[in-house]
Amino acid sequence: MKSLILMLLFFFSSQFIIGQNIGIGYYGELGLRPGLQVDYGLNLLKKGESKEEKKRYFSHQLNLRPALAYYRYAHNSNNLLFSANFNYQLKWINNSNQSYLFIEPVISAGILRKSYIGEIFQTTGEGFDEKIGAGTTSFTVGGGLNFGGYISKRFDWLLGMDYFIENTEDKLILHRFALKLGTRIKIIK
Amino acid sequence: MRYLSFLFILFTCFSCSKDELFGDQVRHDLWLLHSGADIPIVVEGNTNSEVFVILLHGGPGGSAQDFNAGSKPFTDVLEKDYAMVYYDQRNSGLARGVWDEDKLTIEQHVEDLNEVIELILARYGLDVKIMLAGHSWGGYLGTAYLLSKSRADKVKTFINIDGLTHRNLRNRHSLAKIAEIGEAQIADGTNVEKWTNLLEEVQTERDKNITQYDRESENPVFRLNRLAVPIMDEDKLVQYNFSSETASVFRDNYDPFLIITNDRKGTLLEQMYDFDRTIDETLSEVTLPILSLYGKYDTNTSVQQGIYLHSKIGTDASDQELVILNNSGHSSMNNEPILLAEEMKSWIEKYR
Repeated sequence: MKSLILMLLFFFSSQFIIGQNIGIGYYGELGLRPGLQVDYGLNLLKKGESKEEKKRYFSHQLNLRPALAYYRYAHNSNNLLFSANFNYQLKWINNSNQSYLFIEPVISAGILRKSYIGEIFQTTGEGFDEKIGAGTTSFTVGGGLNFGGYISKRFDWLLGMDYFIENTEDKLILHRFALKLGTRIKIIK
Repeated sequence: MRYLSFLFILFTCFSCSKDELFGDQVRHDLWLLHSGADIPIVVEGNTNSEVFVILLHGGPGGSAQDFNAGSKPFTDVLEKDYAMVYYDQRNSGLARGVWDEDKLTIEQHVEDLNEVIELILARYGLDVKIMLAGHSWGGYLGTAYLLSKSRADKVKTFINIDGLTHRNLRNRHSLAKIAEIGEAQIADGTNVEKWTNLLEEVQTERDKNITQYDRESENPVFRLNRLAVPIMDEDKLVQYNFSSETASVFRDNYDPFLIITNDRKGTLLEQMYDFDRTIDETLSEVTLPILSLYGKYDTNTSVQQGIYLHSKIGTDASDQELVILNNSGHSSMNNEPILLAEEMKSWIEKYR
């Protein structure tokens, strides 16, 4: 446990982190199963410097984005997905006005908790017990692609798609898609 | 973070709000956790009627949520008058829980169905009337359920929709049905070449004179059946009439990817060949009113399966009926939904 805390402290130390931002936006499994995602961007690595003589240039970043998403699957389950997302960001920057566009391929791993919607009954042999909060927990692995760009000094826009596989105790449920639309708020420039 | 937690709690609370038990149009989402399986049950429609029609989906490995989200006779017609119960069998449809092949048996499915019935009785009262309606493999499951009198006593009637009754006979019935349809089409001068070629293959298969099929030897019959269906579609023998899958995904709880993942049959198909003997021996003890509905162009489980069922059961002749739907194939709920619903409704009214 101690070593885990030390590792986390190292990870989140200001020396290690170059820039930070918070993302918030719509998160919908299959597009229209509505939800909300909040994530926190930690910039691990950055390459590509501003060059006065160049009007446009590219920057490359590696980021870690821990994310928490909630989405509701009607008549079935409330879903809470905690994931760690690593992305490579390729940013195309216009030096004259500092506006930019970026694209981010992402790989992710996480834990998905599904809590069943409705009344839940467990057989007891002599009848039924009503249960609260039953559901399933599974590991997820996947990836995605994000597109984004400059809105203002503080805000970016973001449009993305996630794909993940749900790995339960004994099943591999393929083809989970989610659409994302939101903003990123810079907290460290 | 606090705001997020608040939102989550808010969503969760709304999702847990309970509807009235009885009403003209209600929807209740239930889960039954039994023997390792998490079985989703949707009760939708008119619970005031106190008539609960439990739909047994096909497959094995299909989904009753198909019936609720995608097909019309139940949602558009029968839910107005009755409470329809859509439940997904273990390892099928939207069911979750543990995948345990040892529990993928006919006996376990029968036990699960019994628990579903018990839950409906416990929740809605012992006075409600339970009716079973099974499609394809669901017909087999329904028949298996009724073989015990103590179980059958909980049910008012059974509606067998394109149901499988006897796995072994079904192969011969399929071949005979394809031949019958093909010969009629050739005589009519329709699609002669395709039908002639197919009938040659059917005859080759029939010439093998297999009296006892198994999982291996039934494959050619399935292949011929798969070849027959598109020719029948080409000849416009069968109508299609169902809601779009896209609407089902977004307006309801339909989840095509989970349904595909869950579509595991284990050894259920092999078990049916053994269970045929039990069917043969005990079908005469079934005395429940039974309505069978078969598509005229159902080559998968042909009307011969229904004829076999009705010839074997001990039900009084006045309490059994076999109806052929003239523009239907294997899924009459998607072929002639309104006609199917009307037939079911008039039968239910007779025995409610």
